[in-house]
Amino acid sequence: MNRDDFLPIERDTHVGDVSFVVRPNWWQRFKRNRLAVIGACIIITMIVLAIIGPMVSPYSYADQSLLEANQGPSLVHWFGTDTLGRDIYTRVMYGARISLTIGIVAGLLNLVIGVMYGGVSGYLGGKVDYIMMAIVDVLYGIPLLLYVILLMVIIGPGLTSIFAALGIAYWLNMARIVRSQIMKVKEEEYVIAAESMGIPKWRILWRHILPNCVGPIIITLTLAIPEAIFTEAFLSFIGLGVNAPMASWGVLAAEGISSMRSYPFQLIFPALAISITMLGFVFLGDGVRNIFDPKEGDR
Amino acid sequence: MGYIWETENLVKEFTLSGGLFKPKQIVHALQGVSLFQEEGETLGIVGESGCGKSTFGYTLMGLHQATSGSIYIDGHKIDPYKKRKAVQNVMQMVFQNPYASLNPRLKIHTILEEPLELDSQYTPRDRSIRVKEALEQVGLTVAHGERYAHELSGGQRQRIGIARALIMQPKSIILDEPISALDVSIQVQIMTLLEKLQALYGISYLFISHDLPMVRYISHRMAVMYLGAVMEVGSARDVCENPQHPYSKALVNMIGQLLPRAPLGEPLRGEPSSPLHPPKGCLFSARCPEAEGRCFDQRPPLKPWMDRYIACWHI
Amino acid sequence: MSEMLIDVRNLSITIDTFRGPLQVVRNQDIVLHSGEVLGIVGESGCGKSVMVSSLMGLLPKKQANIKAERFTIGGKDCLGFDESHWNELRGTTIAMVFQDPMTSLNPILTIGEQIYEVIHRSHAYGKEYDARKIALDILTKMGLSSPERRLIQYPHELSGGMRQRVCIAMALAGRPNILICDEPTTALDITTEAQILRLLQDLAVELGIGIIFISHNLRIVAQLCDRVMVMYAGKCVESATVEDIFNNPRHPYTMGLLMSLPQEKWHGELKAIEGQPPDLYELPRGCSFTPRCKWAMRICGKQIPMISTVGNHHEYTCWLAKLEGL
Repeated sequence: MNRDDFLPIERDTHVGDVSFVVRPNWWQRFKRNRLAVIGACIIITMIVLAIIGPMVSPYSYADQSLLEANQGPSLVHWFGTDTLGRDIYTRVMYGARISLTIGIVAGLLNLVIGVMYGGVSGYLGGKVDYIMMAIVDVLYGIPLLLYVILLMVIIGPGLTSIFAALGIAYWLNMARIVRSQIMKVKEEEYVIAAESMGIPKWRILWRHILPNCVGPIIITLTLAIPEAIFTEAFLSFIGLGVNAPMASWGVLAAEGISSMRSYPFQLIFPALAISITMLGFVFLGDGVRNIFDPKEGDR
Repeated sequence: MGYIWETENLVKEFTLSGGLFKPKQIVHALQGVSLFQEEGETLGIVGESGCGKSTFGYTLMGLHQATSGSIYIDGHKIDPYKKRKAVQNVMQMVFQNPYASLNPRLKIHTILEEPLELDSQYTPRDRSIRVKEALEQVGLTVAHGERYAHELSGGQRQRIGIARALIMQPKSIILDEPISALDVSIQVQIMTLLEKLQALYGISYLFISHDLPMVRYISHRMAVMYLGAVMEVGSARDVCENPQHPYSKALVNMIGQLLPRAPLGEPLRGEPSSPLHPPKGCLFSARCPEAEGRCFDQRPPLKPWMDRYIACWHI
Repeated sequence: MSEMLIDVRNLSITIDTFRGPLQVVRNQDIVLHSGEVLGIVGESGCGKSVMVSSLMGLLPKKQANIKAERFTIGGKDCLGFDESHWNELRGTTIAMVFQDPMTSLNPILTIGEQIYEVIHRSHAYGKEYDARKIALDILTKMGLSSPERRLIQYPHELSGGMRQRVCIAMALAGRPNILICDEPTTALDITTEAQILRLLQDLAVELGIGIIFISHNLRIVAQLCDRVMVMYAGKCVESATVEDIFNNPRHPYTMGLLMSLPQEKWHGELKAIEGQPPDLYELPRGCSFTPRCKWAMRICGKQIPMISTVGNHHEYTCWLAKLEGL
């Protein structure tokens, strides 16, 4: 300690703390989340398999060969054969087409109808909201099974009636969640600030409100897609789904269960396909949510 | 001389729908407020929470729709019964909570640019120049514009809030509790910034706050509100140093001095009356130490007294 | 001299966060005597709330690492305390009133039930007691009108001011001798604030308990407290009697705070402290206040200043103290 130490400090006149921040872009942020990358890989693989899988196989999903019934996995029949001697590998790959289509259609329905319906209802509020939500409540009160059975009577069983049933009932949850989220966000001061600046309503909804609801939307979506796949599996399982000999994962699992004790592989392969796909969606959803959240960037 | 804005007998009622079987309830948020603002002046509004001071700011800005009464902005009568398009070239607003008033998903420069995008006379280049100017006006740099709100401190965020209000070059800015969410040392930074901007550009402020010393410090004129009505309005100095209305007296006495072991401020008895069932007579009658006969039956009008206006039967 | 209720020496608190360990409180002494009101002043993030939470044993054991030379509360050494020991101490020796009376009461229990619970847990009343009578007494003392009715009311039926009175009543129901008030009036209106402050002042005199009063409002601290600690970035920069702090401040930060309030009752000019409070993760070298200090010297940016004492236990940590000797 000497006299010099007590002279006034030399300061940087340059403002130190403001530098241009280099922020990772969305792709870098996504890459950093390992689970999300795994999830994306799983789903891409599944989609690729669903497209080319059946082509690779020499068998078709309906080819029966009673002589080869109930064989275990082998080089000829990779996943073995079922009680009618059909190749399970081909059937699982074919089932992937149906199950993934249902998942994607359900996802789109959620995004398009659910988000728009909930968004309009929540943003306009008041009487409009009251009526729109009453409709949702009524639809919600009727069990899905009832729609499906009624639709089967009208359209007949098959994929079309499943899609129709999903179309009626599968965006309700999303609409409710988006509505409540928008109700919350539209009271935030930055939305009021935008209003005070004379920014048009649709633009406020699109730019200020919806992006701030993305988190819950994606979480709901990642739950809704596997749920739709599961619902289809369930409907097919109880015999209300796709028609034989077409096979979705649900049908395959249902068939497998009857011979679970003697030939467990008949259940295991379709069940694995369902489980892995669902995990993939959940992992991916988590990663996508992080991309949309700027706060995640610093962690 | 023209006023920037003027309100006449502004009334705002909120209806609480009680559901199917409950009767509707009416919150009397503003019960006939008549105020005006001259160019370049700061008008302060003080009062407790629920006294309608923020509602007044919101209604004036057009964010709430007035129930009755009229608003004149820049000499034009504004239709208060409709939700009008905001009068962004004349008035802008700064909000209370700097943490909630900026969209967390947009970069600061995007937030600042947005109102300019609506105006076709600005090219993208003009816009970024204007954003840079506004950031510098509030003591920040272009680099701050590249950040997100959560990457800034509370004081910096409130500066952004002010920059956003400045960007349309308004004549008047409504400041709704602009410093109450900030730390003491930062509060003063914002206050001095506001003073500087007023000196440079002659902007008027409507300064809404519950902090009487700060309102006194920054305001030229000051209005004391209670339960949705103005109790006393006059020059800030007169109202604080020689309050006439019993409520202003109580507010001033409650502050006490900034001296060690100074006696604590004199508390006012009771709780504020509910805006659901305001008293029939003078709004302050339930808590007023001087209330008598007529105060409970008839509501006193805002009458001129010396060079201020007071709503009290005793004046 | 009155009894020493809190005696904590050289307290350091480190909290594990996702960005690594963060030292929130650094080498801090806290002393509280009975019948004394100790004010703690500081900006948000200066560590005052963490510090008093440690006095209540409220910090999460896993994340918070508490080190101290001495840590005695009400004569008991609390350093090795586990949860059951703290439970014993909380409410009976030391109690706390929180900032927001809206959230610090359980909305589904009546006021009475919440107060009875504290009374039952306390040993101060012996074996035979009438909880209802005690609760009524306390509520009356808190200045609540018609206390019988309050006992059967739920929190949402009371106004903010009344709820804060109930919170104070609950804190005092266990007959503690230390009361910690964490910004007890920040969430209240000015008119109610004045009432609550009156109440606290009366209680301090009447019950002779020690009160720690945390606030950012210097005006209230001046009026209410006997001794004041000014905290900045996890450290007390100045601690003295209320007279010394307000009439004879030594630390530039304290001076800055005083300058940033309208000086006398209504006049004077405001002078801001420039700059931002420091990021606790990247504290400047030397004295943490250096970047914002008007009188900063070269040494301030190199070494942490020592505690200097003048007069009646007026302690402050600033290199300016050494300047006079040169």
